[in-house]
Amino acid sequence: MINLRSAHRLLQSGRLHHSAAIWLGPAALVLVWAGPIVLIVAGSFFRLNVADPHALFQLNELSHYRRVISSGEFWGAVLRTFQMTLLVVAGSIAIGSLAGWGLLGVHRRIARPILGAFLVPLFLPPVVSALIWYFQSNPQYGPVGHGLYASTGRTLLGPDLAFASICIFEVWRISPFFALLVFLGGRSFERSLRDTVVIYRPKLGFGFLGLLIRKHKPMIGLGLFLGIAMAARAFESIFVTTGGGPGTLTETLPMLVHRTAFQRFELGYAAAQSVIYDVILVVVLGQLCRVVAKS
Amino acid sequence: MKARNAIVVLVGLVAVAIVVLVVSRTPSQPVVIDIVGEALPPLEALGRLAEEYTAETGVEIRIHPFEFETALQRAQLDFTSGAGDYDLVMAIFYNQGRYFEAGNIIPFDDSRFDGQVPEPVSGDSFYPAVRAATMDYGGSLVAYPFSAQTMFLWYRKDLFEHPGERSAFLERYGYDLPVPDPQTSLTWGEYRDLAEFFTRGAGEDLAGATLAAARYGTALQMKRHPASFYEFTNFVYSIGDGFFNESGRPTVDTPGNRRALDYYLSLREFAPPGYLQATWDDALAQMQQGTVAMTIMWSDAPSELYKAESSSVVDKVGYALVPVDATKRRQVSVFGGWGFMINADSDIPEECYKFVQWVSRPRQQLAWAKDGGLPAAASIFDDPEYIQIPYMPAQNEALKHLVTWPRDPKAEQFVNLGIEYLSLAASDQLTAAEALTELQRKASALYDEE
Repeated sequence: MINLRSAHRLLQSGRLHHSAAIWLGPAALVLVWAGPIVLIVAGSFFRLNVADPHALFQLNELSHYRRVISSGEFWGAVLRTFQMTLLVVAGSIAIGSLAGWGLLGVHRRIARPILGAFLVPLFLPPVVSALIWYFQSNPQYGPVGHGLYASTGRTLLGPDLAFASICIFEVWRISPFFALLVFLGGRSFERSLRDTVVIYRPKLGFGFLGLLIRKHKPMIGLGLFLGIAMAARAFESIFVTTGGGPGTLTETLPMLVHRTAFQRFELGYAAAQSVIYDVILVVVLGQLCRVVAKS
Repeated sequence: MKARNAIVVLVGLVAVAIVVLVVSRTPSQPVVIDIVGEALPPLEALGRLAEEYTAETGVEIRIHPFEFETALQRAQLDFTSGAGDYDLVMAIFYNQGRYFEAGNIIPFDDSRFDGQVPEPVSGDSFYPAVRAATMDYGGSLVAYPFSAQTMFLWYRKDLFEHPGERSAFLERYGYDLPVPDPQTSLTWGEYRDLAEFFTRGAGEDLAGATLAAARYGTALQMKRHPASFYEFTNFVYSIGDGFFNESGRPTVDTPGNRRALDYYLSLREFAPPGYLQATWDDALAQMQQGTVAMTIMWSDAPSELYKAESSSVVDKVGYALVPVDATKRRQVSVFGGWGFMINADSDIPEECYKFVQWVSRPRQQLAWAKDGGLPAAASIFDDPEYIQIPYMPAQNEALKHLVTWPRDPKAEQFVNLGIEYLSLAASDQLTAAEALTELQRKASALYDEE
């Protein structure tokens, strides 16, 4: 125990610098950063059914994990999440890169406002953009939804198209990130290389593309990493528009965890779902980092 | 020296903070009752009514309105954490058993409330069916009714009574277009005919005018959301056999319930597209915009149809009870009422009790009803001012046919299962029979659990 007097003595002697006090700041940071993770992992071993406070802290050992592993509902949600993540990241990279790449050849004064406008979805609060999407998908008064319904008789958030609609929405939200990345990456080229890109872009082949990829490997890796992390956590778009439905067609892992925690009030089980999902994500992202690093 | 100064400043700041905290909690500050509930017209009206209470007593009422599911989550998390952020909780009727058995609330018959008000409003002054559904549980008076929501039929009176439409209906279906009222219900067969009849495409005529956009026979609330479960409950208890047997066990998969679900799903072709994303909010909006001719809707929302700034059907809507099965003739109206419950972690339970008592008095109940509230005080149901409110005659009749389900601690989980399987059936991922079979299996497992 360090009291004020002894702390003062330590300060005067200069030893405090090397004593426990120096760890207080980092320890607090670690606590703030790791605290929630520790709580989630610890919580997954307890029953933690909020609706049943008598058995709230009853130790459940590994039974939540056994239940998760054998749950078709969980693996169905994992599958949908991975499908959505793959589609969204691929779509976002394609559209974002095209946009960023296209803007490289445009004069800076024109490129900047266009890029600024393109970035709007990235900076809108997700719940606001989800609401915008919800309204425009409405088959009665939403311009996109109404047009589609009038021409095909299908609804954007109906069983046929709900999953695809959510994916398109997420691409709309995330592709500006890739556009920004490509644009800034291009701007950071040496002038000569940039000029080459701008002047010879129509004639550039895969060899040059390969050169660009190699040159900007860390940035591409970072982009992929963040893109996957963003897409895999998509929640507001689904929560606001479909609520995970129709049926379970758009129930991804974040939606399932939310439903488990806040509709069924099974916080312990939801924690176990989260832990397993995080482990899967970390493994996938880790492998991705290795592949990018090796390439 | 520097360190000493820093310590002195730090200690000074802490002292100031403590003083501020202490001062802010002195008894001279007004008492504040925090209420959490669903954002709907009756709660908004309660906020306005409470201003009178504040003027009388100095007690401030702070309302925290949330979307339905969020309101339930807030209440549950506040109960479990013991934070006591909300003194009064608007509790949906089917959760009351769980809250009570978990010790989350203080019953209104607790001895600490004895003598708090001179002549307390007794439970007997409320409409008996509402009392049974929201007040008594486990031998205790667990809640006082907040609002007595029921569902009944809203229909476009102007369309139903239009001579041209009436003759066209007679010609097409061979019987007079039935105009229901609170005493005379449609049958489900008639409901389907009417839904079909009033579904028109853009360019067709409706009530003598050419339509610029399509119009639909009925609204449906089939989003994966509690709205779908409530809506379907009307069909289950009217056409089918109900969700539970007499001993409280789930009996979902029955021939009658399959027929009810088949019928419910058959209405989709007469509903505005997007019914799979629609809840009660959308049904209200569709009615306000004149998009649909009729719908089975909640009694807490008709007041919104009379606001000219947001409604194109002011004074054009009539009300009747939920249609009946032609052979069973069983009249039902699903109950969705909320009760006031006093949080066991509230610092001011006596103040909560006094406020609920004040709100429950007939004068306040009537004033509240006129502003969009849905009282349960039986003594005002015949009051001329109350009956004059256009939808109250239907509300009074609907209360006579309330349908509820057991309020045991597993009720909410059962509702959530129902929502899930209804959505699977509504989106054709499962047939009606498959959905009910699966729901039965899951519900039985739920009730078999310890």
